[in-house]
Amino acid sequence: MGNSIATAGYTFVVEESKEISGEDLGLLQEKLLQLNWGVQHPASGPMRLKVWVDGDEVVKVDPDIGYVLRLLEKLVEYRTWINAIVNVERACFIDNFGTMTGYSIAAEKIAGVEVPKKADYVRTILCEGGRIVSHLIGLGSFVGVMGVHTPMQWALIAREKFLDAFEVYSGQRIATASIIPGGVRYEPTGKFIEKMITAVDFLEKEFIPRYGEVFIDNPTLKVRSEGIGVVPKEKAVELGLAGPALRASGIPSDIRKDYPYAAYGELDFKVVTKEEGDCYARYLVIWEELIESAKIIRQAIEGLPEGEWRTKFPIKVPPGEAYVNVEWARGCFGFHLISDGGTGPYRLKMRAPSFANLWAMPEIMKNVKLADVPVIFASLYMCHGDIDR
Amino acid sequence: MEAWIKAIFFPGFVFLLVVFLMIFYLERKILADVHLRTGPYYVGKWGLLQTTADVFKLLQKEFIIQRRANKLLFSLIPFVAFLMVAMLIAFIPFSEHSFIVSTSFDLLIVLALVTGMPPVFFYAGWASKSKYSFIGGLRVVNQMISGEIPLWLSALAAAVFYGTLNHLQIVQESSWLGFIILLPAFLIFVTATLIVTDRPPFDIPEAEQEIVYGFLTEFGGFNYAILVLSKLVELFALYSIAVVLFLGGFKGPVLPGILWFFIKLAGLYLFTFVVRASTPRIRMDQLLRFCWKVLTPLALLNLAFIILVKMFIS
Amino acid sequence: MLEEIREKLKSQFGLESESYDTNMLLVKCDRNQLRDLMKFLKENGFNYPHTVSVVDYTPKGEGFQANYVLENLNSKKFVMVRVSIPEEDLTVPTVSDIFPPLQPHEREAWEMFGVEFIGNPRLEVMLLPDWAEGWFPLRKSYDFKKHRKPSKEKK
Repeated sequence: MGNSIATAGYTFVVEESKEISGEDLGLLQEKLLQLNWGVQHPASGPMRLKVWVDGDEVVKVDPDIGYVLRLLEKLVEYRTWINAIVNVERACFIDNFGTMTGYSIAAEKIAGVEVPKKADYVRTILCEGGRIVSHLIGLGSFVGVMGVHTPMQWALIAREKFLDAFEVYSGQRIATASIIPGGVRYEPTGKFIEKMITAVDFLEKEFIPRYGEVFIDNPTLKVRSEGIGVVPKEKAVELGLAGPALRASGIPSDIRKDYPYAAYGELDFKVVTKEEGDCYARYLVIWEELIESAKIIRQAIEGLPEGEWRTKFPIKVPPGEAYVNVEWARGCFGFHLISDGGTGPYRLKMRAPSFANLWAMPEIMKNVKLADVPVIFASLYMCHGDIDR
Repeated sequence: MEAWIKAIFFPGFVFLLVVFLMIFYLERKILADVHLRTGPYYVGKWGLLQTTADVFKLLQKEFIIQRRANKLLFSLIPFVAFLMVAMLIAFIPFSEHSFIVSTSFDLLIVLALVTGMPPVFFYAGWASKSKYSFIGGLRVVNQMISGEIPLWLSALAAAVFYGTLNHLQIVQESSWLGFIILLPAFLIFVTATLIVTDRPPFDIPEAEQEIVYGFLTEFGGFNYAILVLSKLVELFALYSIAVVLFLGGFKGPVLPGILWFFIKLAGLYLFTFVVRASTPRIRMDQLLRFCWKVLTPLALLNLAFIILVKMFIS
Repeated sequence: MLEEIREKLKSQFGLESESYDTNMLLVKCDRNQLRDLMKFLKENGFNYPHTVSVVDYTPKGEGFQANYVLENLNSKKFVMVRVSIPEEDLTVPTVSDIFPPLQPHEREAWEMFGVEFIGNPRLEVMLLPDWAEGWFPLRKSYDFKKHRKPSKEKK
């Protein structure tokens, strides 16, 4: 191991001295430098972006994914109809209600089960709660990639109130497993409604004014994100963007409005769209949807009907199939569910919005600066569990 | 007091170490306050000893040298960097009597030493032989050189106005009139300080979301502690210079001089921390455009203005 | 909207289509017709592809099935194109040049089911680790026990 030199107070080992030649430097001679943006990296999450840079310009980006692959689509085939929600909700733990709702609606369509109205309303409340939780983290991480950690801290405080409400409802804060085919699993008690109202109150009265004052219309934030990663309307369709990223390019695609599921048909809300299609527009879409979601929750709580919250779901479901889309926090989530008359799903294909956004990203990241890579990445609003499934 | 006692104890090393721990503690507390959390709390009264504990944790850590790294440079650079910035402290008068040395070229030496920093940090990045460190090193050179010109120009504006380079004389001659006339120079100086010491929002060389931790990526333990400390000392020294040149140094009513000095310094630090908590980092090309197209011409115009004022006053 | 498409499909391709859901049309077509059909659908406004969903019906003796889901973003209608693939010859012409977003979806279907999309420029392992290439874990015939790593014996 060479000679160890003891200097004042500490020792360190020096390897046998090897002449470092010009080739060894490598980085000085290659024209293109390949940077590994991930897997262990402050901003990437469990995925790797191979970024080839020429000086400060990004030439090519290639995502390397699969680090959180759990093969949920296969696992679902080994479960019963109701147990499968546990796998479905783990597509992305941040907003688990959206995926559970989509799967449940698909299963109900095949089985021909009608859901009580109260269950629809509770699903709406939970879905919007999940959307708020997810959007809060989205806002925090978008500003976080530019070196300011304040929004994330504020967002987590607001998120905590919602998690408290979920805990009162289902006993769990994150993986709640609360929406099942045939309704919802637990009765929405008065305590839950109370907690939910407290959370929405905190969001509307404290978080939104405080955050809006500092981090919306922030000049430095605008300098960094305006005109970066621009995706025009036609390009967005061609690249197959989904969710807030698609709406930020001016396409009003929102399943909640197009094909209302749960109780969305009876509530009043608007679809947020922006025309610019740059990173800042995507950020604003998330921000305004957050405000809309709070309003939806208030309406749904007001209109909460009396009655049963779940019906009996048959153990064996007749053969058939359904393709159901739900507007999940990060975009349109598709479920292609097939039954062969057994006690569990025969096949479930999940169409993940983050997966679509991820593979549109290399095209958007062409010829940007290295410093724009994390900004574009965060603005596309992806969830790693969702990409790999 | 003898000079060597001064150098070790009162305005010297031990005193500064305590001051730095306090500044670090203050930074964490203020940042935590903006974040709406508590910050350091458990170690010591009000968490006062938390930073000390962290420093000791760093000192215990293993000393790791990357296999491909240039061993000599890699282990030498942190000490060189620390030595260079520690020398800056010698020229700062904290009060009428507490300074280590006072020459007739104080300001010139300080500025010259600050100008010497970019190669040191660049070699820190280069010696690591890591891609991220290397990019960080290149960015440091880019950024510091473009920040130093406005720094020089605005500092020299004060020197021209007071007609001397000696810090003590500058403080003694300072007045409200001087403060108002030198206000533009002060603003330019503080901005340039943030750029030169890569504090947020100009922390481009160590942008962790892009290049992990810039030229500090491969450093660990004691080396890392000393490199970070040297950057903190650089900021402290430049802010002290700002207090001396533009804010009247240790002058002030009632309270003793040294307290006034640190109150003024704390004001500047408060500004830094609040900026850090609310302003996103800008991009390299935007920074260069800002430096060369806005800050440098402004500093030049300001210098011309000061010369004009000087002509009328004298 | 969907009625128009249904009639056009009948006159141009001679394909029968049925309604799948309130908003979706199911078209069953042959492998050879797929590319022409997709081009036709793209020209008719169904330009937003959702996914490729492959289903393994081999236990029932019906081979594989590939479902392409397309959306019309203006009228918010869906079309599902269904291609059945015999077990012996698992090939489908690619549509990744017509719908570029479907390229990674086809890649995923290839690595999970082993359906070869002829002409897809990048059929490489994406989600699975490199050493698991060719395992096709979503097939019904995939055996978990066979591929389970031997657990370490307790000392």
